[in-house]
Amino acid sequence: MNVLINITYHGQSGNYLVNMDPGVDDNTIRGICEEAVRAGEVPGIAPALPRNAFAHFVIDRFHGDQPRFVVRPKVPFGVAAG
Amino acid sequence: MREVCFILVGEKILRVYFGSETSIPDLRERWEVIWEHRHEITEIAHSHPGNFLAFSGEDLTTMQAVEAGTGCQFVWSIVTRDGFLSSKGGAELLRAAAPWWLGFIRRLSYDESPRRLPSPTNQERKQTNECAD
Repeated sequence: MNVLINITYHGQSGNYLVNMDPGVDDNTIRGICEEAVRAGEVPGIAPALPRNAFAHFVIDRFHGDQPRFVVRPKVPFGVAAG
Repeated sequence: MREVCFILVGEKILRVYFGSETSIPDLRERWEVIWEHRHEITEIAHSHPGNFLAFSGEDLTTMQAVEAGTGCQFVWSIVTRDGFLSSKGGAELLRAAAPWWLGFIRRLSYDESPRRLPSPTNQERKQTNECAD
């Protein structure tokens, strides 16, 4: 199934359409996104990306006729582990 | 006690978020606000219980992720009953000067009046109304 992934990094945002199982885990999605950006396949995001750039990013998943994922920074705070 | 987060544009409170005694959970809307206002936001402050005046592991990874995502640097602050600590670009500073909202975030976090939000002072109302404009 085609999944549209929106990625935000360093003040830039871009979309990446990929054929994948929408049930795949978050870590796999982070890895796919990192590789896609480095390969220059995400218009709008510069390919120069540090390793594990998305380590502290979360995936918001929107299911429907066109599954859409949003890869964005996590924003919790606090003394307790998240 | 509950953890409270303020997103600030200068002296104005852009958004307020409430959490539990020990955390403020992740929220997509909070990220959307930060992203939309990333060029205006100057400071993101939140309270900690007791005298825990330090950035937690959760705080540090959030700070790193938000700055990586926005490409912007912010002032990040921790507020306790008696302390006020800020960090920018990895450099921490204990702040002695108290912005007007410091008392307000403490009252929202630590006011132990049963089941009632503390009423804002006139100055706090004025500042909040200016923010809402």
